[in-house]
Amino acid sequence: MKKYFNLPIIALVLFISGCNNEKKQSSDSNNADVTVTAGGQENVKDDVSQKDVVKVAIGSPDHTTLVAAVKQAELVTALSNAGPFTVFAPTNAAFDKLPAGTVDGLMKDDKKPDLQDILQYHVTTSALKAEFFTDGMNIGMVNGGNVTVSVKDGKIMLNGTATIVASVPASNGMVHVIDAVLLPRLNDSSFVERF
Amino acid sequence: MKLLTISASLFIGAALFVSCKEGAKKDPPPVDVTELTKNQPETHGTEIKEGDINLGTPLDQALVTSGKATYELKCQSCHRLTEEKLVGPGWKDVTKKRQPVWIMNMITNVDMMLETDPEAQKLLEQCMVRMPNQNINKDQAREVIEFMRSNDGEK
Amino acid sequence: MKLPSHKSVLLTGVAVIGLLLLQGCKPRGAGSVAGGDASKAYVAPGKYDEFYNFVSGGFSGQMSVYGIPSGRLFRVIPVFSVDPEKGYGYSEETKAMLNTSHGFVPWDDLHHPALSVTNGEHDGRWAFGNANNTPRIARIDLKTFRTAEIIEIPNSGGNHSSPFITENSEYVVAGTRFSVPMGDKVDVPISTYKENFKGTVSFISVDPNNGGMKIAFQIQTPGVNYDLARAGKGKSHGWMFFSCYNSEQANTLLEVNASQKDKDFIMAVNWKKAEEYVKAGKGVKKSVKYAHNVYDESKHMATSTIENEVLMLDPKDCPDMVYYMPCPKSPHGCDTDPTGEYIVGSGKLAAVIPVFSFTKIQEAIAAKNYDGNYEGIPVLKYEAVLHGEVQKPGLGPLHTEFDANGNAYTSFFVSSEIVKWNVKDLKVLDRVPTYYSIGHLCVPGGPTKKPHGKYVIAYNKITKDRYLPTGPELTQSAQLYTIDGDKMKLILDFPTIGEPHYAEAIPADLVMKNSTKIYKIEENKNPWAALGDNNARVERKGNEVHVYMTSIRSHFTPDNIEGVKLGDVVYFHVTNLEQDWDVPHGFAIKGANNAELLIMPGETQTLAWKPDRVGVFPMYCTDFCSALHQEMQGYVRVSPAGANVPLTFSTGKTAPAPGSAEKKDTAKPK
Repeated sequence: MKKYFNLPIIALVLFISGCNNEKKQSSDSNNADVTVTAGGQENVKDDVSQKDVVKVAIGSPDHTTLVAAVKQAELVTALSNAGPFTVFAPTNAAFDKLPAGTVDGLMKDDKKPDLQDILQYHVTTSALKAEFFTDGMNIGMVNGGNVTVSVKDGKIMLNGTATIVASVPASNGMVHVIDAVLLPRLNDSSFVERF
Repeated sequence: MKLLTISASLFIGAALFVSCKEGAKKDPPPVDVTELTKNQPETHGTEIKEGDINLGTPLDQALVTSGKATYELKCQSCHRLTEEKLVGPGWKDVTKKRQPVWIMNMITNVDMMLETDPEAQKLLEQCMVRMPNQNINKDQAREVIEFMRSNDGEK
Repeated sequence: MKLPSHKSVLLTGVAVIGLLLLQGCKPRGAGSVAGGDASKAYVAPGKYDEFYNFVSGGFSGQMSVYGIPSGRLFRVIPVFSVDPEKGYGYSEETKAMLNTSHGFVPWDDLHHPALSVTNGEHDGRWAFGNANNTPRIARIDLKTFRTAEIIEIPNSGGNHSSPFITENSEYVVAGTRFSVPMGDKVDVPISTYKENFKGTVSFISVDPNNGGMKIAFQIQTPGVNYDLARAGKGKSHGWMFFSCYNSEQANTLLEVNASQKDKDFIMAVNWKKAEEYVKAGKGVKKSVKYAHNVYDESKHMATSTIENEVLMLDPKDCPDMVYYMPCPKSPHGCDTDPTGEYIVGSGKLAAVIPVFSFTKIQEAIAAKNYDGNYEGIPVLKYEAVLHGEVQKPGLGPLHTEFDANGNAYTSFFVSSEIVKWNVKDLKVLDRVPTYYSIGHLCVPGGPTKKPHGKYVIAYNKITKDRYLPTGPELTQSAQLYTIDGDKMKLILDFPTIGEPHYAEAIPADLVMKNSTKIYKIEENKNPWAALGDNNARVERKGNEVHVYMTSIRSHFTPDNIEGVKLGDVVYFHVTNLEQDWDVPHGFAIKGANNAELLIMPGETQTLAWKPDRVGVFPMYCTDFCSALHQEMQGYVRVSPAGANVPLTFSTGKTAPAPGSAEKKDTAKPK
């Protein structure tokens, strides 16, 4: 169960996310000229409730690449909704393991559909705690692809390539920190070479 | 000077109001309630004219009997057959004090009477309760008249 | 000297007034949101709305009625939950409505209304609703806006895919959300789901004359979860489509275990074929108890009958009656378009929206183009029955409604939006966010053959920061969008009762012309009615005291009652003698352990009251009925059990001389 509660990370999340809300757009009801707020629940002012999966990621210094990618892929609103979600959250180091230039390529506007595809391959719509994973289990991801789980000696691996290194509960699901980026099998091995 | 200002301001106000109204003029097409509700079981009285009523002697006992039934079901709660005022006036001698046409209109179309008839309005002031529409049609009201006449000693 | 200052004050005043007027012009805040379209939701005081919106109350168990486009709440119709406000489930006359084979059940969870149809179009006669928890279907009479009938669904663990109605209101249906063991062998380990649990879909016939419901037949199916349903129409009339999930047949942690397969099913039922099998005697009578409750409008009283058997069809004995079509990822919505050709499946977890073609389904059946079978029921090949898929429509598709121009509107829970797309070419045309997390949606006439279009209404699960906060629980809400242009435009937010699931909207003139105004007192057949003051009385039957009471503006007859004793049960049978629209009277008595009565003009209702102490108890009219409403009151004197106070009652009797009568009947317990 060590992997399940990574206290330093949680503490960091709690600490950092306190600074998260300064970018809120004004939506004071007595201002008749307020334009419609872009996005959705991510704009709700709430410093008391548990953090959602997006805010958990934002609060982690190890996930700045992922957070930037989620913003670029316009998935912040969806992931701030009720879910429930399980997000497999590759660390910055995991993104760094991709061939040079891959991330930069994906962050370009014309590659947004590919970025969305990859990121949606990291999300499923149910809140899966670490102990729910069983060896050989299949998880249907939001992009339509599947992730296969293997469990050996308490180590949970996804698609045989990424290992869950920490698990953080969020208000709308679970964030499992992984050490490699999952690549949609739909596009197979040639996927990365396209960038 | 002052007057001018006031009227000017009123004018501006009015102009704003008008523009307001036009801006918000998006009502859905009006619905004709009368048309929609005309098949309802509820009976709205129409004004009964003097010539519509024929009173005969002796009393028609069949009318008296059915008039009494209507009284007991729909009137008795508020009207006694004596002079005693309960919610509304007692019925004793009502046929001697009021024209049958007045009574029948009061029974079948109380809203019209309370709007237009000074005697009806006076009664409302005394009784403090609008006489309810008891869904009594013209024929039933005619029966009630016969029962009232009987109550007043006519034969 | 003072004049200039006066003047400036005056001018300032003018300016302020001008500003106020200007501000009054602008619909506050909404103008910017809706680009000036907010006025489309404005219905001026005294004007009527265009549509009635019948909205499920979810866990309130009731159905609410709103006006569209104003979003004004008109009525909450009590259906499956008691409603002390209206005395529903508390009055002796209405208690039987909530009777079940489990006894009196005071609450349920109403998810889906279904409005009656003739030739696939709204006819404004009845609204049906499902009870999700203790499986039932209710019929609401749209003349009175009251629940007229409730039938329990046996052999079902939970009734979600219900009451979806067929093209001529031949049937409403009920599919098991929870499959359960049934028949003789019900005490089995839960882990034997695959072996012992069965599903059923029930077809409840609706009498075309009076709406009376009867379970015509049930079809036994493999144990899965049926989620939603829609009837075929036009060319697909005679078919019913049920979405189902948990084809994995998991009995625990469905969140994980029911999402293992890439595809679950939509079940297509040829109910005309089923009717033939019923006629041919293929059905088997199964012994099972269920309640059937009917409200008699002339008696103003419900009766509950316990039925003892249903007719069960087994697909094994009835070939060509039931087929499964593969549908990606736990399908939820399963909606047929106005032509009846297309069936839209919405997999909650799917990345596409599959659209099935009825013509192709028929061809696949004829060619036996099967992909194996599922517990003996043929599975049609996905590709063979597919019209096409809407690609990347959004996240978490749930439900689809239609307009009259060949467009579909699908709600997306996860991405919190409505997406408009073309049914034929499957191209996404427009998308608009909802605030937040939409469940169902409603286009007026959307499930019928002739949608009225004009609006789409979103029913949202979450309203964080949309309304003034009210503690941890916030109101759930609806959002109204116009759809008559190319772009959907948000024009109104309005709060809803309970939790709204599905809703239907119907043009006002189809309903309002039939609305009952009064119950004719001459037609009141309630056995306890006091038809006129001559019948007002108090009677003792053992330890029961029956008060036959009348009410009219502004008094009860009788209003002074003595001779009630501790240990008595007092039944107040109150008849409202009024014959005027919108003049109900209420009745309440101090210390009553139930609720008030709310009695419509010409109606009789009964409240049972068990006094718990000696004393004089006030009773009064609870519905502000007239200028003398506060005078509409009375007293009941309760004496000790053995007292010799005679049973008396009166109205308008003057007080006895001080000290005379009082001495005579002072209570003397024995």
